[in-house]
Amino acid sequence: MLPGERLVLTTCVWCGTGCQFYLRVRDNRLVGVVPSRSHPISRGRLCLKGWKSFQFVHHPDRLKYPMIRNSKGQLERVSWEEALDYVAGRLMEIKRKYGPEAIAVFGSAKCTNEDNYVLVRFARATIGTDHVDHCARLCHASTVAGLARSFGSGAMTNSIDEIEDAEVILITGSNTSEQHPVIASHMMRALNRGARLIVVDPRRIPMARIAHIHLSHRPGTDIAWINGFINVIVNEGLADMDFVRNHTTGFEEMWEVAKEYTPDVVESITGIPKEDLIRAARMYASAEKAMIFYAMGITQHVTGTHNVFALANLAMVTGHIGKPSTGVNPLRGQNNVQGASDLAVVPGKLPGYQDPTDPEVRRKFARVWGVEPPAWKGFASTQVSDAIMDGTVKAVYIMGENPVRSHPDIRHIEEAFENLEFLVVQDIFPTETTKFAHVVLPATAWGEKDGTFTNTDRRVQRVRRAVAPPAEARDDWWIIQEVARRMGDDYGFEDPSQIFDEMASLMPIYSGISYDRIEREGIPWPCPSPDHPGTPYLHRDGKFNTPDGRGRFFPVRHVDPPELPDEEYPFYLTTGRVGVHWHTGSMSRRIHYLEREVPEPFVEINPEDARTLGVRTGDRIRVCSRRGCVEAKALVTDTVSRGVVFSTFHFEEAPINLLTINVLDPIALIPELKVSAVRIEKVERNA
Amino acid sequence: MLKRLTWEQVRDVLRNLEGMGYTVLHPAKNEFGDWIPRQGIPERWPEDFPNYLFPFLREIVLPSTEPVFDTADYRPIFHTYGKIAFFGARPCDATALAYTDAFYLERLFRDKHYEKRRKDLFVISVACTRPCENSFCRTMGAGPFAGKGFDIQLYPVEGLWYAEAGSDAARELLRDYPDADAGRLEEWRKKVLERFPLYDRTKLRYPVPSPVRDFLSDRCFSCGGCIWLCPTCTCYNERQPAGLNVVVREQDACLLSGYHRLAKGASLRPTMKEMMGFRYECKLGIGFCTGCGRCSTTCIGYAAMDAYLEKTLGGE
Amino acid sequence: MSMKLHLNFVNVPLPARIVSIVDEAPDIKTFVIRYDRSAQVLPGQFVMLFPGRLWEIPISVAWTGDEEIALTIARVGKVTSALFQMNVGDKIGVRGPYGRPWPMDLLRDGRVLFVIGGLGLAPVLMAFEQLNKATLVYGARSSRFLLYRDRYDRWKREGKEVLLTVDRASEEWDGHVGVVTTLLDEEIVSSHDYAVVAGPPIMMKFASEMLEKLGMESDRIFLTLENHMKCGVGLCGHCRVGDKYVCVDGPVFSLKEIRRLEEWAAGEVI
Repeated sequence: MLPGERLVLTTCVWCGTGCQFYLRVRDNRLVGVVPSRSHPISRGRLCLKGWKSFQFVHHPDRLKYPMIRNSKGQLERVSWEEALDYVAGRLMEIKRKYGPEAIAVFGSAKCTNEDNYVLVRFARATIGTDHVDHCARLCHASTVAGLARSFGSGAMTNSIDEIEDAEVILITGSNTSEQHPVIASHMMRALNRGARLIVVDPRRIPMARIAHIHLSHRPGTDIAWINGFINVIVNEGLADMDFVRNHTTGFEEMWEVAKEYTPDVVESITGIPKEDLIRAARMYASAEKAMIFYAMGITQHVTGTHNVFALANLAMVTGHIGKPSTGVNPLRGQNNVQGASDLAVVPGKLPGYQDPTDPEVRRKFARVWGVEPPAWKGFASTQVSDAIMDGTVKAVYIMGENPVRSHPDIRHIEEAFENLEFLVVQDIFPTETTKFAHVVLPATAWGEKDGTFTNTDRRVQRVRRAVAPPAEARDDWWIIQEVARRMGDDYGFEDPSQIFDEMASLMPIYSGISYDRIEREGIPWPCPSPDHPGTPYLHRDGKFNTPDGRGRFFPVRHVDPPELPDEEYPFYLTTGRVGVHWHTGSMSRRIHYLEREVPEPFVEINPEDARTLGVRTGDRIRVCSRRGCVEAKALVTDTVSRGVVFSTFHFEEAPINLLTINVLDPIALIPELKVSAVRIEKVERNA
Repeated sequence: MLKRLTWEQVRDVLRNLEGMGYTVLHPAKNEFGDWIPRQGIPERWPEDFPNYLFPFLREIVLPSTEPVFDTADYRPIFHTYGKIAFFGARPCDATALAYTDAFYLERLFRDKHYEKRRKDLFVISVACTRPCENSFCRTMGAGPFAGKGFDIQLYPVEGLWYAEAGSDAARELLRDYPDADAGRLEEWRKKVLERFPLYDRTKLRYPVPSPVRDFLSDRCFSCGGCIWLCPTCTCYNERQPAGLNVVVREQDACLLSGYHRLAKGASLRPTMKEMMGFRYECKLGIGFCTGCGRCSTTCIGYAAMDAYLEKTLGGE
Repeated sequence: MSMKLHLNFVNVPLPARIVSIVDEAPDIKTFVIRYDRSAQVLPGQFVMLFPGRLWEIPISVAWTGDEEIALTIARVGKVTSALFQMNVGDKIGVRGPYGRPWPMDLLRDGRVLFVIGGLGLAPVLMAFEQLNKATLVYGARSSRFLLYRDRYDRWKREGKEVLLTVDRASEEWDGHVGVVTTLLDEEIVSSHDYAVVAGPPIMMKFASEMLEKLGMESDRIFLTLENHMKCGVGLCGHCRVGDKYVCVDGPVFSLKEIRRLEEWAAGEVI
């Protein structure tokens, strides 16, 4: 390398694609990124976030010292000793007074598998609570719930490598080129090799502009169009009935419902012209290899789990599952949301999707943890605000999340957090959530820590430390272990590889993986033994991971979203992200090039609606729902259809989740972030 | 001056450069299978070296980020890698260096930061024998042999290394080696040249035909990769990074909307089509493209120079 | 036009000091800065200004004095906001002067019509004051935004015609109301040999088109472009239009030259 510099290969910190690249290090500072041509996913390609990822690490706003809120209500710098003693003391006190179930723990899909494992052990063994959750609740909880029931495994069925061989690619509810640019790149390669692209999305996203067919449906009508596909496919004899007979159950019940969804019915519900629906359904069904990709547009609904069932039905009816370049492929948002889910940073599970009520499993964990994990099922993070308000939960320990901005109906969660007896936040930057914290603990950022991430196609890959952390920031796993030790539970970990070995020994899907094996290239789980090569695609030959080995059809019906536009609130508000920012912006908005691309909040509005309202691009508009109002600049664009407005939750200046509705999917407990009703007003500027 | 050296004599030249205070960098594959420059004198020439994906040669003279001055006392800061002998530069990158030299040193204003680092750089290019991925260097006149931008250019001819001197320092270093037969080199060059595709250069001109521009614009996802990796992209931006008392200059990319945005928020080129036009008017108009193919390798949307070539040349 | 080769350039500002700050209009101030290269400034040139943080911005020099330059600045973005927080006596970074000035030799030969909008008066002020046969047609949003009002009487005494207009009249305004082009007609155009146009982009576009329509040839109309110059020395690339770098090939161009650039460029020029 150039004199005075060093390269450190690591996995990207942003999305779940799992690109790897080299960080350039000079004088203990990250100074740039060099892409890796040899990495199987990124192949020398990166998005702007990846290219500029290193810039947030050295930002002066980084949390550098432990802080405790003093009697005047201000956060005051303290020593690690004092902070750790205080946290451990308060947690023990609360546990003694109210029981372990009064404490909830939030993990983080930005942190490593090792951090999350230690957190899970801390929650379930040291504290003894099952209120453990993380941001997957807000993104793919419905995937995990849905695909686990349909197929027996709640993850991407196929791998990114296989995309280029697909004949048809169906994208729905995923703005792939902005949110998973390098996965979009593999799709572009498939298109260059002759694949057809179908995009089903209410917005005319960039992938829709190059699609062979773009179906623009009304927000919240996904089940209708998916059932419509199945209706056309079965009626036209395009279904793979051999596959259905040999590898699935429940087809008849499903068909009883789906047969009602004729193209005419679907058109009236979704607004998709029936000719287009039929054309797209034929295209998907008649391909030899067809892949479905989806993301938040499917999952962040009250019908999120049902939407996922519907997609699983569609794949099974055509036999597009269990073979290379097929499958139902959720694109996971966070760099390590797959890993955090694998490690059971969710209530009611143990690492490796193991059942906490299974005596054998309980014994296995007790042997390592010293105590048996709780057998009860805890709250989802989206239920925690209510649990605080009704007095069930008294303390929350948060590692690397910002629920005060990312959760729906912000007012409600703010009120709840104000009522907490004890809130610990362990993070790298001050956030809206640290404002409520009694103790703030500075953690190391990506680039400063060793560990592993598991990407969206289940590949466990190394993350490496390139620079030293600022001031007194410490690794998340270290902090938790120190708190646990003070609570009388010593894990004895000295480095992340030791943690990995322990967690792998407890999780059959990871048990063949070790740092040595993934030093050069990651391995996709399941990888049950040290000589197992890993599993690029699941359900080979139609053997599903369900108890009977068969895929299960679930009949699902369209139901209207909980809130529809009416006279008072005439617009659909749908929310999402832009390509250059990340979630609540605490990292991306501190990167100059990303912030410069989209420096302020905006609301997309269709040109015809804009004309009616007298609004032009750049005008300030006020968007109000029944829950509140935010102001932002208008962006007039045909990306959104008439009657729909779109905005993002990146900006604290316009926290869009003030507007969204706090109604949860009853199965996955994921909030409805994609559909709410709003009205738009132009803000008149004073002359 | 054309000389004839054995591999061991090539290594002697590198040793001499080391003796003169240069850090010698040469191509090597790292443990992950990527080509990264390594310090020291190589045991052998890596036959399978295509080129670095990252333009390390540009990076030495024009770092993608460098401090320029101190905001407290306005003292200039010069970032430098010291004296570097860059062995194994590919001819396209040497040609690019000649272009950036002209841009930074021979126009109205001369860039001292660039100049200082350039003076410390000794370039030994090695002629290519096979075209690499996505490249069309012959069409652009930047490969497989460089006409400028090198101190020494080596040709691997029949087990020996023919050495062409491109600077006085190089002539001095090579003085005592036997002369080579220019005719033989010419023959060798002709043979090698045939392996490299030649496209119709007249089609690679600005303005971009609008269907091509629209095609590229629809597929550009604004990652900036084509620019971060381009050996002839020279645009930069200056700013004070949060928390530091220096102004840095860092590479900027004209396919990012922020590049074109004015203080008030309006943009000089609000659409991707306009940005794409701006880029191509530079690369194929007033600026320079070496045909190295890096942009095509890194383009997320498969919409870089290879797509441009394919679209403009049609069925050719 | 003479242009000397700056061999000693480093892209580092020189420390200078703010000696006075004058309120000109709402959100518009003139900063007078002690700067020992003031004698080198030619009418129409600009300097790069660094307020001690953030980044540098290009600002036209309104006038110069003995080792002083005056810069009239509107608060529009981050850097100008930082400047507005500065005080007399503060250290400030300056580089320059840079850019192609107004073609004064040419303009001195004839009668020059200045068609100016708003802040556009700053980059033409030196040129207007140095010319004997000049007419100013000047428009602003409202009377409060007319710059350098204390100079108008002197200009009139010197025999220069000064025609003012405002977009929106306030109560005390009894002059012309309307955009600046409403003051242009065939008579005024035909009685001048050259035109100088400066102001907001949209105003320059309409004004230069109208001047041409009223009979002024495009190589006699001069404009100053406000592209976003970041380095001022033709290297950073941001201000490029077609094959020209506005900071070194401009900012002053004739309308004819701009038309040629328009053919080159994909984007809007004016």
